[in-house]
Amino acid sequence: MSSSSNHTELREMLSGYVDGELTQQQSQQVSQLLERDELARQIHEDLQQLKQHIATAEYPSLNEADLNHLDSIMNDRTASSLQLYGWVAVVTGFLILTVPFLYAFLVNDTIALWIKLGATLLYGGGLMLFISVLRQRLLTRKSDKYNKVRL
Amino acid sequence: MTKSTLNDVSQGAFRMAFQILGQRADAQDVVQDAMAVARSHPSAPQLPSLSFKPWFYRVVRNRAIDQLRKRNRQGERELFEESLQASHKSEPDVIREQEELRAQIAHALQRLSFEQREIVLLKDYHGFAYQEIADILDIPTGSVMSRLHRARMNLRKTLSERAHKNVNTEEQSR
Repeated sequence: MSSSSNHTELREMLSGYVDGELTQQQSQQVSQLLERDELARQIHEDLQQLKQHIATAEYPSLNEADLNHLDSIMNDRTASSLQLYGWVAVVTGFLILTVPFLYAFLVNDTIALWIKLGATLLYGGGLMLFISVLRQRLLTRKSDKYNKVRL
Repeated sequence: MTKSTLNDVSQGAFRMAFQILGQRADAQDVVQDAMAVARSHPSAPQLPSLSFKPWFYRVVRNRAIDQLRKRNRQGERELFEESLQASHKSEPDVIREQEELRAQIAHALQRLSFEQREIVLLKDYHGFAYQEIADILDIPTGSVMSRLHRARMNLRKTLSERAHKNVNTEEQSR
């Protein structure tokens, strides 16, 4: 690595130095840079000032009533319980309806084997397609629309 | 869950939403929606877990971006009316000087891209660690420092250009 690119890299570490996010070794390298490089010293000073001014900026606050409202949303046990009971009911109902039906369908001797096989493949295939779409949606969420935002 | 911790998180998240949306009512709506998500989402970390705060900020940020996109579709372009104001702790002259500087910084922040402005505010205003910023923005931790440095250097450049412009204007008016 050339000396000038090393120099540039060290200057890029000034932000990490100001934020206290460097390793001990990196911090020592930046300290040495600050001793010998006037421009780096100037940038370091400017970054510290900027950081200080932005940190003390004032923005509007939520008032007590707003905070209480948010607290009540977060701790709304009735909503949480209803949601839980709702899911339990849906899953139980689904199982009650499908498991006996499936069992009866599969053990029924009057239904031909090819129909059983065809129906199993049809519904099984549909389920696999649904899972694959769901999986795809979950994967794309990783590099989602909130990355590289241009507004 | 302690109420004061939740209040601190709510207050900070509201300010971040305000910094993105520039409107109090919209920022409040976004935080309320995010709170409902935090209560009902199965994978939401629960306070006092330290991961709750970055997780909640991420939800608020994403909701705020949705809100902005909706506004843009509706043709509203007046965004980011941020109000960086001075604190009132110093002598009058110093206050005036600091107010001017803060106004300049606020102006320079407006000129940054959305991505650069938010990373600067997450670090310097909200005080998040690099790892937390990476979690909120869903980017690798290793790229936080370089992105932040670029944003700060742009901010510094804009401020310096503005300072030169002011000096030139003063000289011409003499």
